[in-house]
Amino acid sequence: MIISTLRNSCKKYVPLAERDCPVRRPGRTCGASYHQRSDIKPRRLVLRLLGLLIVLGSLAACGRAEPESPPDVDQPMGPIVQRILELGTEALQQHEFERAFALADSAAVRAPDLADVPFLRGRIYAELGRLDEAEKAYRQALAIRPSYPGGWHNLGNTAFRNQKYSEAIGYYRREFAANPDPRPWRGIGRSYFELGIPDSARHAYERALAIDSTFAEAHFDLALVLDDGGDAEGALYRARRALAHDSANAEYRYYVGVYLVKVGRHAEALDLLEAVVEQWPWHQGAHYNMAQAFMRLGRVEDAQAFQERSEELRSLQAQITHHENTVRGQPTNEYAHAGLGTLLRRAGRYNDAMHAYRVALYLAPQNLEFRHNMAVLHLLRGDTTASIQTFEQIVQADTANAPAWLNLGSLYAMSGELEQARKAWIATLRIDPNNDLARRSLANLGVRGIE
Amino acid sequence: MPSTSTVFMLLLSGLVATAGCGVEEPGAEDPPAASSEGAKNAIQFTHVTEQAGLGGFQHVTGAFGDTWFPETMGAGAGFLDYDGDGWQDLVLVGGAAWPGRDDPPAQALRLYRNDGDGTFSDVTAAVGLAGLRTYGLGVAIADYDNDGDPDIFVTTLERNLLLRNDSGADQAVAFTEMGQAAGVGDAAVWSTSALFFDADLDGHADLYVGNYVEWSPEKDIWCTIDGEVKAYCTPQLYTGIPGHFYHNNGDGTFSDWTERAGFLPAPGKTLGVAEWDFNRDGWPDLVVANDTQRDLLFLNKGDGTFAEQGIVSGLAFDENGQARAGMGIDVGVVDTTGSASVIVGHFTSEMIGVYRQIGPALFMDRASQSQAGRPSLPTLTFGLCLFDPDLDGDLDLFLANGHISPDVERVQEGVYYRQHPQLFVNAGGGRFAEHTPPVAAPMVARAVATADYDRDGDVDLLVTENGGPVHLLRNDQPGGRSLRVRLEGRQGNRDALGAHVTAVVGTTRMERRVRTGSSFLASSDKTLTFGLGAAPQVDTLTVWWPGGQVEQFTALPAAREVHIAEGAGLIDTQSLHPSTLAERP
Repeated sequence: MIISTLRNSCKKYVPLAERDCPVRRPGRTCGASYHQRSDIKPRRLVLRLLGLLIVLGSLAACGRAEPESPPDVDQPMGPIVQRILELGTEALQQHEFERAFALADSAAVRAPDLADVPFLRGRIYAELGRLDEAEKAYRQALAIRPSYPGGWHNLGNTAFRNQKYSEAIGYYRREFAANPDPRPWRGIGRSYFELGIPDSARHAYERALAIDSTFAEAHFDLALVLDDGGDAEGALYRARRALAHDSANAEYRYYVGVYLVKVGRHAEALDLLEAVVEQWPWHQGAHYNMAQAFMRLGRVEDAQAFQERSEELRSLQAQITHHENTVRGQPTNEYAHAGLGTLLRRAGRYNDAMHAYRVALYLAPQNLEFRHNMAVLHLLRGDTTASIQTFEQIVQADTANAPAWLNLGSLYAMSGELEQARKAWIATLRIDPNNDLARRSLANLGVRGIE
Repeated sequence: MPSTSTVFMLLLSGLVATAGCGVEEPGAEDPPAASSEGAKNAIQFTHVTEQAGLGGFQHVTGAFGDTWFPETMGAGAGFLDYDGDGWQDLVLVGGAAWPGRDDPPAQALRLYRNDGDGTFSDVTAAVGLAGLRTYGLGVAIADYDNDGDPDIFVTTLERNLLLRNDSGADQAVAFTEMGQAAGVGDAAVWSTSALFFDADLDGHADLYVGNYVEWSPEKDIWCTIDGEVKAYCTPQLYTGIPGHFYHNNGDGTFSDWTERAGFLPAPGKTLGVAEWDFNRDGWPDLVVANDTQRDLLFLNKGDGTFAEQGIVSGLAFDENGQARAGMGIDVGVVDTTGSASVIVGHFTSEMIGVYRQIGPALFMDRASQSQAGRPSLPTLTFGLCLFDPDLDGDLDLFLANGHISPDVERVQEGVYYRQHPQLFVNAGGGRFAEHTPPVAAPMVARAVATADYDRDGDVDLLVTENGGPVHLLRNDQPGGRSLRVRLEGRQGNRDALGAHVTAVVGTTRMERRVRTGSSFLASSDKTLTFGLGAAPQVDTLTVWWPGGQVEQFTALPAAREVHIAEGAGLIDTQSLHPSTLAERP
């Protein structure tokens, strides 16, 4: 058994594009990743440009000399390649890693000198937690086009996740020099924060916010810095700002609740924490803080109820954290990913679980047990069609898989496709003649089983 | 002459600000008044290990390359006056070689006699401890048999040891190992920090032993931090072992009352334990720091049995409800409210816990507000202590830091194996300000114990290193700025464990408690130190003896060590002599 001895290298609840970032805070988001060349909303551009003037001025004042970049050498992107890359990006967003790689390969055949291709590969590897390969791919993209938007930034993210914070700062700075944007400043801030230099972290976040005052993640990260420094009121203000700019973000809502508890505004905190619990019923911290708030309000019975639920969630969360650490240390271990997926599913975190299963399946595409679990997960998420498709894949790969046939029959029945259901249950009984469930299901359809 | 009066415990409620007053808002109180203007002095420690004769000590982990988990734990240490000459002697846990190895056997314990001139002499063999062989970890020191001399309990990886101090009429001292005979050495488990306290106030010191995890070479797990090389494990994957509570039968033996006294169930993985009377009911409570498990608060139910209240009190977890890697622990009143703060050392990337009491059994972690939290993020704190090195009357905080993985800096930027200890000076209002560390060089620190080993009235530090030397740090405050108080129980336990003492100097009120335990694997001098700044005397000293008696003394002059016996008042006063040490600058 291989166990990582690094504690707390990533305690987070929220699944995001960039996984496994080594941060101190449970629930804290990882670094914003570049997904496309520009996703800055047009209405923010004026503000950002104004901010940029300030930032560029400050960079110049620092006298920092960035190494000169060689000229871009990548080829123009044709419409077909562009479409392939869009499909690859979509596949990545859906965590269909094999398809995403295949599309990247297709694009590479058509445009071997296009920086977008290794950049996409880098993002896929990063999503799979294979940081060395991600770094290599990003470097390939930057070798083709040194100013590739997001290239240095994502390289910074990779260094950050490897806990090489100074190195990450260098990359983020290069990104900013090449493509001014608030996100590198946020990366710089997070790196300084991890290095225990809060003043510099704060400065960097303020720079990001000078470019885009609606940058919710920077507001939130600034809240964490302020909280660490003992300024709970300041942290509360910043967390509220983050939530105002991203009102659906349960993590921000949770932290606003936590800071309200911290400053003694317990009744207010309860409203927010209750909303978090509703959105994330698996969230142990929200339950815990509700218990603490109730306790301080003298509502002992309510406190006990939430505390008990918090304790129930705690052991599951501990197992999840352990598996997350294992996955981080062994990104190519399919069973580690599948184990994580099972725990996440048990916690009701179906989207996270799906991600873990997809990684496991990418690593072991022939593993029908993983695929079976994923089919069940589709069903739990309410996607009966995807569940049926997955079970169909299983029985095509293994025609003697009785449990898959049985489930397939049930799913068809749920979908009103009774003939298909009948065929599936008959197939089940052909493999497993003593399967009572299949026999009863067929009987319910009014059909006798096979002789 | 000081006057003595006896009242009863009921009076206590009038002096305690928090009792029955609901929840306070922490941090809003005024900073504690200095004893007098200009009373603060620069803190200065001098590293005197070599000149004190301790330079030859080297702790042995037994490490031979297989990175076995216990090798990270390190070295306990304790102060005691084993020969009753008034000078604090020193016991150091030496460690061990692993069985089956060809490594030379290590001395399990070393006892150093304080020669009274700033030096120590190794008397291990003279007191019969030279042949002791065990993989020792921590020490707890108390007079468990009430015969007037301190005994040593040693926690180990195997069966724990109870070394009874058998002082003879001819002044000769020998220690006799009584662990199994006394009923405290039966459990062959990995024990860590322990403390003596009189749980049921029957006049006999009981024993709480923190236990860690189920480990043996056969159960060792292969861990790594880089995916390739085996590294020292952390405890998440090992099964925790709950602590043990041994009731002192009063006849030299103990009974395992762990379950009967309410100490089960418990998660184990304990590294620190401290005693305090949090709800001011006159009965001692315990706080337990656990590594990657929730911390525990055992509130005494008033009959020597306990109810665990860690979670409901807010002391068990961090602000997100997550268990942290609890290491060493200490308790003290760090502001003017009279409410206690529990300090817990944690792993790197985790702030220390600064759990401020905001109700009789309610706590809030104020680590970040205290300003000691953020600087503690890059450090891994094992031992820690609240003490008053500058003798200004308030408690400052010392953290003994050092990582467990020698190669951590290779994989985690900004984190180091050898780390600087940290000293935080009380800035008032529940806040601390980081001070220059008392030792220049980083170290792999583990235990820290305190004592006024040179009897000059200020508190000195002893820090151990894992697999390394020991560091004796002499506090060089100007003389005459403190009152030292040594208590002797007569109706209660001989060491007066659980006695709560307040000293009023002008508008400043200080609180101290006679305790063992706290820190990590360590046992400190039980004589209390009250820093007076420039004040000439303690105006009023009040002693709440365990059991309820209260005695009060007035106008106790500075630069003295007073010996107070329960019910007998002040039985001895000695001047503190800062000039007795020839090498003092």
